[in-house]
Amino acid sequence: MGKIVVNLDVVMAKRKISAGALAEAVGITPANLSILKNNKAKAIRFSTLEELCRVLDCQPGDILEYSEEQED
Amino acid sequence: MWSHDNSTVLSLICTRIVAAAVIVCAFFVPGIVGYYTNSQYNGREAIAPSGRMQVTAGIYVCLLIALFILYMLDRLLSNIRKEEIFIPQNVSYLRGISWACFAMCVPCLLVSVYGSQIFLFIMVAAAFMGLILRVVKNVIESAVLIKEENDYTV
Repeated sequence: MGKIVVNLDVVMAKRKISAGALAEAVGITPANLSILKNNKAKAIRFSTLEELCRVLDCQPGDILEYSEEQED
Repeated sequence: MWSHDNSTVLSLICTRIVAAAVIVCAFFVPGIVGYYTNSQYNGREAIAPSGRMQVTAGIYVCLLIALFILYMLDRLLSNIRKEEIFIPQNVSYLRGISWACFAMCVPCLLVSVYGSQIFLFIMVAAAFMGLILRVVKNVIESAVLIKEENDYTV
């Protein structure tokens, strides 16, 4: 079974933004951003995704990717 | 002012008092069985003299299971006090208590064969309690999954 991979670190590196700054700009805790970055998240709210896309100036597809690889 | 924490502490204290009572009772089991061996209940012997050993052994097994249940309850209440309610460990404790209630039916049946029929009633009560706890365990198990999903929703 495939899984959704979060490529947030890649987009963050392209935009040269730190985790702390992104968390503050999006309005989520650094702990939750870490969960998202480390692919531990079970779900993401549309509101969070919207804020991430606005702050990082990207599309949801840049952050989320479907992978056929096995889940951990 | 009465609070949720006070309620949990009271339950914890009661559990420990009952555990101490069970341990104290264990010392008096042979004496109690001996007393009822020679007494009459509804025109028949409360405990048949030939079944004295089996009844004593059955009651000791019941007490051991009761201690196991009280230990599990103590751990469960300690977790609830720490506000760790919907965790897999609590599901394991509830599963353990539920199976222990079902296990209690076996010595109760044995004791009811050789001794007082009241143990049949205790057997049914234990099985019913085991069933209720199994349902509670299933509810908590589902709640753990929902909580996990909620915790990991960003």
